[in-house]
Amino acid sequence: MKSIGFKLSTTSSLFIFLGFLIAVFSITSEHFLSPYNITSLLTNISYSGIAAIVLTLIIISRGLDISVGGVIGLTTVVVATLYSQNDPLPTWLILIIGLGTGAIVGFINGWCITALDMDPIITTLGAMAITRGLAYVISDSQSILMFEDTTDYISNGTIFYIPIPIIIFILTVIIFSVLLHKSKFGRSIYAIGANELSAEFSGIAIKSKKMILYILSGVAASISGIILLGQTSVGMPQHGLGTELEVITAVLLGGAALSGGKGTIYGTVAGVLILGVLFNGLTISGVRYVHLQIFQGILLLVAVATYEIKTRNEVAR
Amino acid sequence: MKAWLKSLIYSDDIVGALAIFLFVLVLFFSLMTPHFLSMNNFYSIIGNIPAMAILCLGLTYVVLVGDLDLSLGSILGITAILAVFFFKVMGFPLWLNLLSCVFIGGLFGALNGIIVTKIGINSIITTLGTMALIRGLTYWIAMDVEAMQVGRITDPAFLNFGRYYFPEGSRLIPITLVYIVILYGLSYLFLSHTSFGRKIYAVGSNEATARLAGINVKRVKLVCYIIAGALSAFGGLVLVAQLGLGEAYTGQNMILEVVTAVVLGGVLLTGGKGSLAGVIIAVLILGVIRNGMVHLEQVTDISFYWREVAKGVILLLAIGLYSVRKSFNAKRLRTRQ
Amino acid sequence: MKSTLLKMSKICKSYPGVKAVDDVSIDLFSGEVLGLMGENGAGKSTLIKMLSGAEIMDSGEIYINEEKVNINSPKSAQDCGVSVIYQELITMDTLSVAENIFVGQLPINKTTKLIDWKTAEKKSSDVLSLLNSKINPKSIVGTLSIYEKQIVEVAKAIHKNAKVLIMDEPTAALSEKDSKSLFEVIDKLKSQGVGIIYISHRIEEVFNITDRVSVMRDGMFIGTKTTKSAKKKEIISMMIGRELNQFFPEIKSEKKGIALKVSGLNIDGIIEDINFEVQRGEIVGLFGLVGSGCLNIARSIVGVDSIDQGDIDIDGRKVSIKDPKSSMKNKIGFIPIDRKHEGLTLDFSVKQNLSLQSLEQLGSGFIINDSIENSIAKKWVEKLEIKTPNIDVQVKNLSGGNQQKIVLGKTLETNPEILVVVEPTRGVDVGAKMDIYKMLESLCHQGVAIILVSTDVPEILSISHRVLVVSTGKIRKEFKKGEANQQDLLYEASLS
Repeated sequence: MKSIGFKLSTTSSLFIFLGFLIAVFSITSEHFLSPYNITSLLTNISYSGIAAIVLTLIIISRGLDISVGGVIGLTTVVVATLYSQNDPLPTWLILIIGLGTGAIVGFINGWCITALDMDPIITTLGAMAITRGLAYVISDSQSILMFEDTTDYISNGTIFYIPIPIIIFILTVIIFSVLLHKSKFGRSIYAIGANELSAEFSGIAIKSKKMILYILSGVAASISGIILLGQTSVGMPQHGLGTELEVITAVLLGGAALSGGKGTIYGTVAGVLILGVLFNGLTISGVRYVHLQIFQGILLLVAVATYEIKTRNEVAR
Repeated sequence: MKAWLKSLIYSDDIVGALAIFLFVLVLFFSLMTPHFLSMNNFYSIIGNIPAMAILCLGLTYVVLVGDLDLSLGSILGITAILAVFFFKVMGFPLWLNLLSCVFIGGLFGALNGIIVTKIGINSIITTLGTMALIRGLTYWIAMDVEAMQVGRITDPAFLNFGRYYFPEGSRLIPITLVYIVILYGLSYLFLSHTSFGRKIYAVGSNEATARLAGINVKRVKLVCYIIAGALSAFGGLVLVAQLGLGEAYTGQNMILEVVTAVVLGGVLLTGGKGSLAGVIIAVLILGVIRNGMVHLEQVTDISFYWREVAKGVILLLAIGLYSVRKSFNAKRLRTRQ
Repeated sequence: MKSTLLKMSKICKSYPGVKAVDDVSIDLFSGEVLGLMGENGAGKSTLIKMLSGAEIMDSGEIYINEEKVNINSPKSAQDCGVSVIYQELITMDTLSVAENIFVGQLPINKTTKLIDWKTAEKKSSDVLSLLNSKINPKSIVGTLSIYEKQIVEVAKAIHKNAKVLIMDEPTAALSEKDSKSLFEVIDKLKSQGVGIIYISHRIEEVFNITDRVSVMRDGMFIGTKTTKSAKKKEIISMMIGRELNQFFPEIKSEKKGIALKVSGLNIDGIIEDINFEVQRGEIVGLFGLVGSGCLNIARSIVGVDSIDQGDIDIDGRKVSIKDPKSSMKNKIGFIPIDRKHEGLTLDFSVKQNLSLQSLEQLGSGFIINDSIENSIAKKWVEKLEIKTPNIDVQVKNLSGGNQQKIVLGKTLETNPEILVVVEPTRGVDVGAKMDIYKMLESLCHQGVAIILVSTDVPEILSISHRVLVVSTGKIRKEFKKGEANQQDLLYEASLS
């Protein structure tokens, strides 16, 4: 049994809570367990889940990235704009540029945080503002339509009846759980978060590892953006507004602590699922989208408070 | 450490630098665009500022004590719809409306303060949570509570709260300017010249030392959060009166600009340092940029959305400079062991 | 006429596993400077913590001016007139001098209820001039020099009517000129009747400035001498006078060529012109009191402290060591001084710590090969006789000795050819100590060049083949094995 991250019991309780939610909603609404709803639910989860998985690693390393939403908006705008040019570049190239957008933002974030020793929260807050602003500038605050086969396929296509976004999410989960829990890289991430000084003295290259994480975070956000683009067929600067809160809530709910060194992919998956099921279930029950913010806020506060009190009790013992 | 570097970090000369920057900006926009430098435009700029300025004042209290409060925009939002509700449905007179709103704002501030001080959750996560919570509450009340009526207020008595001019009928001194002067003035007195105000600075400067000196750190922080909430509510009321409108989305995207203005204004994010003069000039700078960019767009092809980018860049630069200075200090602090 | 200002009587304080302060009684007269000396771990700081309210004593009494007082918090200590000037200053750097002095108690104008800055500034100036200082009370403390900041803290203490002033290594970060100024200030305070407890490792200084010297050792109070009539060697004996009945293994030196050569090593203001070499199969001890620069030398070899000038040669080749990773590339291993914060990741398990420095070795790809990790862990648990229920328990649950062994194992897994070990047996039980010495012996046989930095005098005398004594940043003297006894070592280390 791993001695870092969470004892299985906590992640188990999350999944039990998830089961409870699923049970409640399937009783209160007949549509909840319909194949259509389940697919829709899982697809929505995949959209933000991809970014949440990567954010887990960043939080474990004692960092933070609030720029997810901004990168999503910017990516949709960049891709849609490039596509709507006269004689556009080939789609695969445009998509690569889209991913590159996230990578560049991630690189700048990473550079400010590692080379300039800037605070991650404010840096990524600034990045959020800048990317959002750039999205408005490039699109001139307009929505840009994009009907295109590839993006349509990515977002709406299926392989063996499973929507591709879900497949991407599952792949992300598999890749990153191997990366975090089984690889040397993952071990060094936990080490950096638990005790950066010891990690440095053990010869771990802290700056380059952190840089990689922030770049990955940017790319993950871009992937989410491309999925969103395909789903909505439009690139607009407002895309991704509020996603950062959703993603952070999911990760913290899953047990990762801002103080670093704690958290698991499974926990984040549980967090993402709980949030997704909660939102989906409430929406079906007639609760409007904007009201979900209340639950999000409460969930975040309650989760963090619970973990905080729990840790304090453990230390006191 | 070089003397000039030390003074760069600790001095208040930033106010002077900001004032110069403001002047340069005004000069720039006046030269580049035809209508910028006009009385009309001046009032236009001033008109857009009050709610922002009041929120910035509120945030300053929290930042001075070493924390961050991201929920102020949401507090403003819930106040906006409550103000409309109190007026239209409950028929409150203005003074009662004002009192109730400010009280509720203070209550939300207290919520933030209690979670941060008693439960001990990081202020950023806490206020991120309450930001969502309160905004969600706002939408819920606005849309689902039967009795609620949001939207327009046309009663001149109410609107005068935000649109009145001294002397009556003229276009000389807007009442909002008076609010800003009074609130900032009182805050200045409070923060710089009262015992409690100096305790706020002490806690922000070095929390442990402040505690050793017998200062009740929890209480000081709680008060700051309450003031921030109350001020945000006041700002909400002013905004509703100005716009004649109170909707669930009011104030939704303000917080970033508020943080930028406070940071730009020289208030140290780690706490214990900052002057109100800097904050108000920073607010003016951002207002001038916003206004100027609109004019600039009419004359050139530059999209005025660059201002959004500019805001983010300013924030990053301000923090970046501070961090560079900070690490520069750390390198110098070597001791023989 | 001097009166008994402070009397600490039969103070006891224990932590799990160790008696930090064991039935200590100390007194302090008004208007006197009492030096408090003792090696690291002697119990000085714990004793002071109880006087300043940072810790609560298990038993004992404190009397101030013959009246019993109850000090159970920093505030109550201050109210009793006890103030501490810590080595790490705790000034409020963004605020003015006057505000620091008056923190929490700024004078208020009765009528306006606003702060009376004039009075605050005037009173601050008064206190400051009492301390021979012309600092402007309006200056922001962050812009002041370290000495000036110290004066501000002293002024704050005086303003709070401190009767007992505790100064912890006050000259550690001061220049000679500023130290002299500080001594003049101390004289002034004496004439005001303030009693000062002066903690310092610098024997010369203590003999200069104190009226009496109290010595602690291993948590116990050894004795007090009047400075004027005391001899340095006497004080030193009191500090380290352990019976040398502890058994140390006889480690043969098998010199097989120069492994490491340090020339002209310089860190401005910290260490100067350090030259020495270490042969393979040799243990060279670096001995110096706290603040001597020993730690800096060790850390510069392993890339933690950056060097301003000088060369490091390994096997005859010049190398550039700019961070821990490059020192590892050059086959240098490092056991840092603080195992909890620098050597271990407390939340990780035994095996995870042991493998942390050798992640590359755990399999060929990027996946960690569990069986390799397990075998590495088992190997070191066996070799170093680490006492742990299994290799998956968290390291924070193990005893100090076992934790230290894990740091050792982690480093040794990288097969270093040069090993820099700092305080290897601090806080370690006797059994584990022996195991660690055995490992050092074995490494010696294998031809590893070892640099041992330790303030445990019997240890460094017995284990090292040569001891280099360091003080005020320079290497003062070299003793071959058997050429010096404990007193000689401490005496050389105390010179500047």
